[in-house]
Amino acid sequence: MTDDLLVSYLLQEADDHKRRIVEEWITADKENLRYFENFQLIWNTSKEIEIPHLANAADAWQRFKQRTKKSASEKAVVKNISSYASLLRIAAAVIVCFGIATLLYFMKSEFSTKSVTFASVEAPKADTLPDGSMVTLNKHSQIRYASNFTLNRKLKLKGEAFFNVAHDKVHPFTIDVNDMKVTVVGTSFNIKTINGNTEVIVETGVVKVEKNGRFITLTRGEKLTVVAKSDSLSKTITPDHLYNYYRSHEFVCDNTPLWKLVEVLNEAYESNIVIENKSIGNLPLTTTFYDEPLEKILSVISETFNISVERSGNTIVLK
Amino acid sequence: MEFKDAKAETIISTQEHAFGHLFTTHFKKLHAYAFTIVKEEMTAEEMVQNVFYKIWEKQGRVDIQTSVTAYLYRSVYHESLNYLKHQKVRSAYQSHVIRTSKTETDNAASKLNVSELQKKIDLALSELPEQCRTIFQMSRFEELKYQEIADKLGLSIKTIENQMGKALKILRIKLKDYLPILIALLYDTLNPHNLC
Repeated sequence: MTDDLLVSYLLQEADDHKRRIVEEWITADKENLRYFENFQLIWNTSKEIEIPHLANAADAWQRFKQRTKKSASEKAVVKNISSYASLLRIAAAVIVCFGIATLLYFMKSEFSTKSVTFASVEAPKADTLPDGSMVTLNKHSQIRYASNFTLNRKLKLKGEAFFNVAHDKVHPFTIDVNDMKVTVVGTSFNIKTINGNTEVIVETGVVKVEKNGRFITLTRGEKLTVVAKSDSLSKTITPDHLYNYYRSHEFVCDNTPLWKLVEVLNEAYESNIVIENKSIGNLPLTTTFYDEPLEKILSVISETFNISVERSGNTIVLK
Repeated sequence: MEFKDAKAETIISTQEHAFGHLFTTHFKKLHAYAFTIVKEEMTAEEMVQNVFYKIWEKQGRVDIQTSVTAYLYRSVYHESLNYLKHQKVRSAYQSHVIRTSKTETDNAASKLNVSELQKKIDLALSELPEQCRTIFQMSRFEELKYQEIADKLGLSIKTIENQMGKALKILRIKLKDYLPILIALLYDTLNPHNLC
């Protein structure tokens, strides 16, 4: 009995004649039956290897087109840059294009959708977006979106914000940030940009991030850090909830190393705290500070670890 | 594999309309295929995107040996395996990250209560040769008949039969130590007297 024939029988590909041969063989011996049952078990179990709901082909095609367009424009520049004359030609073309673009921009903003800007200055600020999603901006941050936001849930972000996105499968929620595209359906997560670097932390649900044709999916508790000018997307697990401070008004330390808390304190209080001795920096702290003056937090740290806090000008030194 | 003739080159049209049609008709299946290898939805999409991107870059001039479908599956297979190879090297560097997040991974492991056999099959599948794997994929997950697979891949129905036999045979050999135990367990659960 060949395996090919047995498998054909198992998959109901065998004709009557072959079927009879296989059935005779199987009933002839218990060993044969067991042999066949092994195949059956493998075949049946293999079906259960999970294939989840997968992306839509039309959407994937749009992403593909975007990628080809991007690279086509890059190529065009590279090819033509060789001679001086063509450089001039490019310059002229760029000026003309720029002129048209500016004109279109003003016409568009004049006659069609207007863009809405929501920004924070000295303090964090929270608001509800037209689609019911909630956003909390950290200070010195801003988002911008079109006035028809409920139909076109796209926005641009500068700085740092926490989003709690209203569920709407038909209109995906997209954020443009530092050349990256973050897409969600309904979920909550934090995005922070600093010096061109981007950090995404997911609190609930699933978030997709795309950069230059590369993709990654983040789920609850996962954190993605993307360095400016790098296309590498790799995630880690969020070790703490400190990032949440500007929304919760709490600094939650759970076995958090001191240097990390100091980093966040410097951001929150716009202070300049420096750890002089590296060994202090790794001391783990487990406590929660509630929106207290910096002085008070520092004195708790000082007492807990028995370290001194010294001021020189604007700098606070821990040793 | 050997090819007698100097191949008549097939060129895939990269005109937007035709290429878009090719992309959208094959995307879902290729995506599912890549997913069974890389196990991550976005990465799987990236694999498929990369394959089409390479075809587009070469303006459709690619070495199609049997059929366009076979070429696409073959390319997705190799793209995915290359990715995994790359990941393995990278994961050596990332092991410290994993160690620091041990509690979370422990949690995830207990949630992922996939049957042992399923895991072994999954693993064994990844060791099948390319053509064998592709044919298994089409038969098992796309639920195509031998004839349909033969048509799509430009192969004879006999080849499909051989390859499917080979696939199951390889799986059986790789799972050999595992199968009898599992069957015993199965009987245990079927027989309530053995349960306490």
